[in-house]
Amino acid sequence: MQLNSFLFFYFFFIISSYGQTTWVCSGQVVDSQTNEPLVGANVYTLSVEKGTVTDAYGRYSLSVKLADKALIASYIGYESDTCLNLINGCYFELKPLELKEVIVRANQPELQKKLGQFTPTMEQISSLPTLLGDIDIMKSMTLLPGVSGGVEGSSGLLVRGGNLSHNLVILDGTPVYNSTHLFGFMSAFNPVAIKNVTLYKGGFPAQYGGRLASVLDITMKDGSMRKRATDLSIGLVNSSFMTEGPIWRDKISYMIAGRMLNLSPILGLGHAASGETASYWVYDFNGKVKYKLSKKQSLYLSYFQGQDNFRINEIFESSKYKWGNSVVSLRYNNQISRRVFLDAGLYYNKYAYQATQESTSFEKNTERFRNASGIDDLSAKLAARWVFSSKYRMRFGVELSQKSFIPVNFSNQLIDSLGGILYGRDVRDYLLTNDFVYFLENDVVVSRKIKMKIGGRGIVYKNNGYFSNSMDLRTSLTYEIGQNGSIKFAFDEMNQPFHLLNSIGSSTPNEVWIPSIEKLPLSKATQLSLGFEKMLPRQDVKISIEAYYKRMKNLVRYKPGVAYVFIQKNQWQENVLAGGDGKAYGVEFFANKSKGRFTGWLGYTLSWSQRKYSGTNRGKWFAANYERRHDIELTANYKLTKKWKLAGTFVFQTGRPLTLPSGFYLLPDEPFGHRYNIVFDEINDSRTKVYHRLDISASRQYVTKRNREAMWTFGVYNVYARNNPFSYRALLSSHENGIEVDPRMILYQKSWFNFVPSINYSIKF
Amino acid sequence: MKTNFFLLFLLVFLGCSERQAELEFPDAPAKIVLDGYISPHGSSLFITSFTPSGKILDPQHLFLNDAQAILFLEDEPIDTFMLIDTLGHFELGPNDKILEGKIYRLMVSSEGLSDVVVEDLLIPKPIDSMQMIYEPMDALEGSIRVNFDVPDNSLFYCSCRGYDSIGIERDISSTFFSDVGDCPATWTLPRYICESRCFGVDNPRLAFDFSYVTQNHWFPVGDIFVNLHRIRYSISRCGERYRYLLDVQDGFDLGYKEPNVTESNVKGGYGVVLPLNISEAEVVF
Repeated sequence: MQLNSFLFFYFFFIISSYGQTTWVCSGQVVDSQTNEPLVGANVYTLSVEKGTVTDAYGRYSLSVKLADKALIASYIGYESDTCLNLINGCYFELKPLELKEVIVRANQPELQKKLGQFTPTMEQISSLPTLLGDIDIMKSMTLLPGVSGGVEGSSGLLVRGGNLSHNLVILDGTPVYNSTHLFGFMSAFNPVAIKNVTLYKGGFPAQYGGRLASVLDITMKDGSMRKRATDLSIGLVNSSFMTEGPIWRDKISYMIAGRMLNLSPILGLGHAASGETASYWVYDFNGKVKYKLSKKQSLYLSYFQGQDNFRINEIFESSKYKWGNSVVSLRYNNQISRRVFLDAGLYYNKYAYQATQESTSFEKNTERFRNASGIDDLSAKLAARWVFSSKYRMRFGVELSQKSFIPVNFSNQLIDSLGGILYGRDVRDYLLTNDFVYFLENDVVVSRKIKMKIGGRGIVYKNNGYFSNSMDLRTSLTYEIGQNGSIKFAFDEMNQPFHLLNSIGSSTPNEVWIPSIEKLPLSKATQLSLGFEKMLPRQDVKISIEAYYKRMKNLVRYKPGVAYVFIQKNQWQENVLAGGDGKAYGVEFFANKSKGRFTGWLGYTLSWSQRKYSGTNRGKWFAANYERRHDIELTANYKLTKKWKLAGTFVFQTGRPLTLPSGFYLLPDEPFGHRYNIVFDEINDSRTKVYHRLDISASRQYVTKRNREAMWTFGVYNVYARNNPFSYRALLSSHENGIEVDPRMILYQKSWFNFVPSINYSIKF
Repeated sequence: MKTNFFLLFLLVFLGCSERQAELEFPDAPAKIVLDGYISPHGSSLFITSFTPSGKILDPQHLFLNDAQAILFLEDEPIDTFMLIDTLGHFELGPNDKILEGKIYRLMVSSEGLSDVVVEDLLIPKPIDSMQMIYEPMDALEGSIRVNFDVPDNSLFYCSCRGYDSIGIERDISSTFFSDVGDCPATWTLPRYICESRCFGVDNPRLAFDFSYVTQNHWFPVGDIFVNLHRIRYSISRCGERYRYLLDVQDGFDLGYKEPNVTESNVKGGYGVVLPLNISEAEVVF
């Protein structure tokens, strides 16, 4: 903290000398048709000597001088705009390019020069071929270097050796604790409701924290301030809609979006014959209202609800599972002056999971087991950005939050045919945590070639008798080589005051969030990254190489042999292994062409990720689940004609770690004779077969007779029907061709998703 | 059915397939496997061999009847296990050198395999609060219950054997109920180890209940009914540290679940040998 104070005053002193010949030009970049702010738009001077990118509210601030003469704003898919009046600030309204136009651009600066950060446009995401034609933000992130998914087809993210729970996924500023539907196979985020996505793998801004591996910052569309529009989409997996428009032109806008899974009717047909019924309802709803109080002040109210309801009824048994998130945020932002921006917000998220199983006896008594868990998170944030000069800017803020965890909520009841409770037992555990977070980040231009970011994020955490006070250091350094190249270095410390327990052994979701307690202190990660980046202007290609080394401490997982259901109040505390260590390191290569008729990227990751717990694997290091030693992704989009677009994705990955049985032995098991015990010597001591697949898609975009934009998309996932391993099943077989033989171990591989065609139709009103 | 519904959907719509995998199993040498216990009133040991995954089980070399198992107190050998059948079963009679609080070591050797050793076998205190209640209700129904004090959340060895009119022994451990006392119990068969789940209960007691509903003490044993003349319960404390050695895995799906590493207190081999101090109670009808 002393170091930060020193740096603050040092840089304050330095920057005071700059303001004399330059001034800060600030403003906003918006879509001219909808008045919606554009996130990540480039704003730069005429000479392309300096520039910046807009923030989550489309705002920018740039230090300029008289000689700069003009500012230019540009954004992919929009015409550039120039502003000459630098004295009063520039408010850009960019015009979207028409459907017929082919985007060819050159000589624009590449301003997103941050280590470990990636901001794809929604156009890039939606043009990737996908499983069953379902556009999925989370899955598209797994095509980036350093990011991999879990099981094939799932929407989980594993970033630079982290676990699924080590990613901070935020929607309009609110953390989302479970970001998937359909047992993890579908992202909870409706792509038509999303405006912007940014993934941070390293060089984390100090405003983000609370997770060890990554930040996925998702912003919902604000809704058009000027015209009403509706977007309908019908696909094989789900159908969705989005409608937006002004409530009060240029003052208040709304956006409402909904999505529903098309699975329930199919399940109903499949089970009707067997006398069983099944239903699976999945929906999500997004809503947002923006109130533009003035040109410099806005108020946002965002809401998201995602829910899965899965039910199976058999003759004497029924099972119900439901889980989901409810997210609401109220945010206010104000450009107090040219130099000072203020953001404030209230955020609430509730994640709840519940499983109910009922069995009815011949006497018509029903025994009911209900298991639930959840987390409630309420927080308030206040942050400010202060642009002192072109050489120095500062961001600081505070955050207060209160979380309540329910790791155990178990009930067992015996109910008679009249509804009377013959027997009942309830066990519930409830924990309340409070944390106070403060952060400060100094953004300094040390010289023409060297830029530095130094800051920290502190957390004061309290949970009953457990108290923790820690400070994370965040720093990065950029050294520019020529006009188009740079070397970057970043050092990040992250901590996570709660943990996720999930056993991958279940076919139903079983996520249990537990807070840090004395026995399970805050998880910590330290990451060192070094990168080189170069822009090749002629080809519009950016290439980068990044190496990273990460250590993680105080990781938590289930004890060996522990199931996911807790039925005693404090059972979760004794059923977890604490004090786990993790290390991950690797090199990532990325070449991205984001402009022109042909776009796409090539990513390659060479990585290692390991874990160690004293209570399992005999205390030895083992490969982390889903570690991929080599991971290659190639995506390509080609605008064939004005109407037709082609896209393809190729993925090649080393097999993931797998624990295979090393053998088996007999045990006496009277009165039934003997049984076998299968032996596993080491966790993840083998690897699955190599994974690769090619996906392709073609889309035809056109204007209907009623002047509506419509699009058909045809795709095939896994074109050459590669039998990629989804899971393995090992069994002791004592029969061969119907004849009894001496037992031996046989391994079977299950493959899903072999040659999966898809079709999708969307129309805009 | 519940767990398979989603697989079914994908099988139909997405072309799921299963085939024999071409992966190689990890290399593992053949080793000695031990399963049993030592106790002052008698010890039992099952000695067999481990079959690596890539090999077919060889019945010729499965039971290590030639094995030599010697029990040590510190560095002093105190007794040798005796083979009692041709299926790898060895026993040791009551031995007054096996005492509560003493630490023992077991060494086992067999031709062609590396020697194995089990160390730190600390004989626990016996259970002294065991109480047996025989409650015949009428000629057709009745129950036998044994209960005893337990500390919170601990492990116990519990075996129940019945004897018919001519003295033939029947293992009926798997047929009695344990969820009848103050504390529910979780079983880890086949080693007759149960784990009491007592939390927040004053003076917790664990109970094993054996009910019969047929005339003249015909008890269900497996799929048949057996006429028993006496029943004997054998109960012992079992060290908490053996909890994770007792996991038995006989089927698994490697796609979803990360299997547990097989733990063992047999150095150089596999299996579990428990130090027990068995107390017994008997009811004669």
